[in-house]
Amino acid sequence: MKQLIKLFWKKLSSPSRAAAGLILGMGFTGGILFWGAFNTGMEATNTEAFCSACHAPIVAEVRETIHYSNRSGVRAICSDCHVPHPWTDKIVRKVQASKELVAYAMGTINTTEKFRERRGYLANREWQRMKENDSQECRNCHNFDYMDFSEQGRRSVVQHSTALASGEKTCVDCHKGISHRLPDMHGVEGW
Amino acid sequence: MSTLESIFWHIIGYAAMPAIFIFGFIAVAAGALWILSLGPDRDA
Repeated sequence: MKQLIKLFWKKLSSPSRAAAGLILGMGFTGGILFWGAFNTGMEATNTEAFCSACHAPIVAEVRETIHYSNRSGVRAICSDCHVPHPWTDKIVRKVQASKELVAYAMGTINTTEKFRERRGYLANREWQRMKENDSQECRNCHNFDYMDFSEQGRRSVVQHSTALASGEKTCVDCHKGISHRLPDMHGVEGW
Repeated sequence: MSTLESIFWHIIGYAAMPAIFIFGFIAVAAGALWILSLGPDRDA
């Protein structure tokens, strides 16, 4: 291994007989290919099919909600709400999610019964994550500044113009279970 | 998520970014060196 690293370094630190244009071209093309493959791989982990491998019961529930089918033809899939959109945040979340592979290997939620039992724990973790990032994933589509209060119900106007506007509350404090059935809400603040 | 857990995952997550770039560079460099070894740098 050490010899291989030495040989690699020797090659890297020696001038090449090839034309500079060829070397630059290979680096440029290689960079595009690497980045394309990396991003394609990462995006593959953002698909519904990938999420369904472990969370099939939840993914099925989304199909009944307004985030899946609506008059506007806009659809939010799992990753739109559960994976941050900015690249750096996304990488941190993906690395963090690597521990979920251990849960997959151990079969932590591989049956409906196990999933139901763990559902409250999973939901609480996700609500806490969204509370900590000020419902970042909701705000990717729903912008407070663009809200037309005249189109909202009376109760929504009151809550949005006070608690949400002041930052006292964030989206997920009230909007729980909008795309999934609620777990046992015993002990959850405000429920 | 506890504060300790959050710190741990953020450190690992941010450390992953330079690791991705470095390993990407190594992979592209290894590929390019192999291609060069077939042509102009055959005897180098």
